[in-house]
Amino acid sequence: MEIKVVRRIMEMNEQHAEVVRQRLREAGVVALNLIGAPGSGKTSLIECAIRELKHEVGIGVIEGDPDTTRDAERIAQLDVPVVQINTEGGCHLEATMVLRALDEMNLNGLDLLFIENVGNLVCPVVFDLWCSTWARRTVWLWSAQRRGTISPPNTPPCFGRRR
Amino acid sequence: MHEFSIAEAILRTTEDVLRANGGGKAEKIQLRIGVLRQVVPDALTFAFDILKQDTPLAEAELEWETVPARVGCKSCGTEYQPEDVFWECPSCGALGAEVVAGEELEIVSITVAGGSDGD
Repeated sequence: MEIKVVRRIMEMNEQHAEVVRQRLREAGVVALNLIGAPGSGKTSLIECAIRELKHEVGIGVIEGDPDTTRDAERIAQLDVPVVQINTEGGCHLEATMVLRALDEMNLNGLDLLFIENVGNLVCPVVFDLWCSTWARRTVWLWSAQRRGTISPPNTPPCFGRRR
Repeated sequence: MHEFSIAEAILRTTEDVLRANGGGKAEKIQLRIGVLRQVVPDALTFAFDILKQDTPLAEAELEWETVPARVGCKSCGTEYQPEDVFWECPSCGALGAEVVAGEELEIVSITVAGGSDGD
């Protein structure tokens, strides 16, 4: 027997993404999802932004890493709320993980939330397509001098896509 | 390796559909996957074969149709299949386009073993 269905495979991620979006919207928080190669400067950019902006806007950070709390510790030194997500080897963040992280974070008083994705130019982008509104903006970082020959044509969906 | 997440979602969605249709064991799951999803077929099969063990999908095989990319020019509206990553309109030469097709990630049908007593 063949059952005809047309079901989007990532429905659950999309549903959780919608909850994330609603929570952020209710709290009036703008989220930036940072996608970039390992070593491209995602954490450094967040540190810079915190130093420049923290007296004017309330900033929170969700740190996504396969392992360790190193990046979260760097951010915590700057005295802003930070939640670490360890993907245990996983190559990208999913909306469900972000939702759990939001449970740990007090959104009151926050204006801006940085979500640092796992250092990878392929998988996080693919997930972002499935839930393009889960972070209200996506920032792509590309550091050519550090990554040798990596360039936009190597990872087309990351760079050649609609914004 | 986002294929593991996709395989897990396929498993969960299929189990959901099977439950709603009175149970049974899935034999074949037909998918539609757009090329822009960057899914590696071998990696998806590998992940699915590991995750399906000891589930009602243990015997299930994945089959899929790949959907090519099609984009629409933002300037003149011409629809075309991009040749490279720059998405340059063959008609007016403008860069920048909206995706029309190629982002699909769907289960189209599920074949269940034997007949079904359920409704």
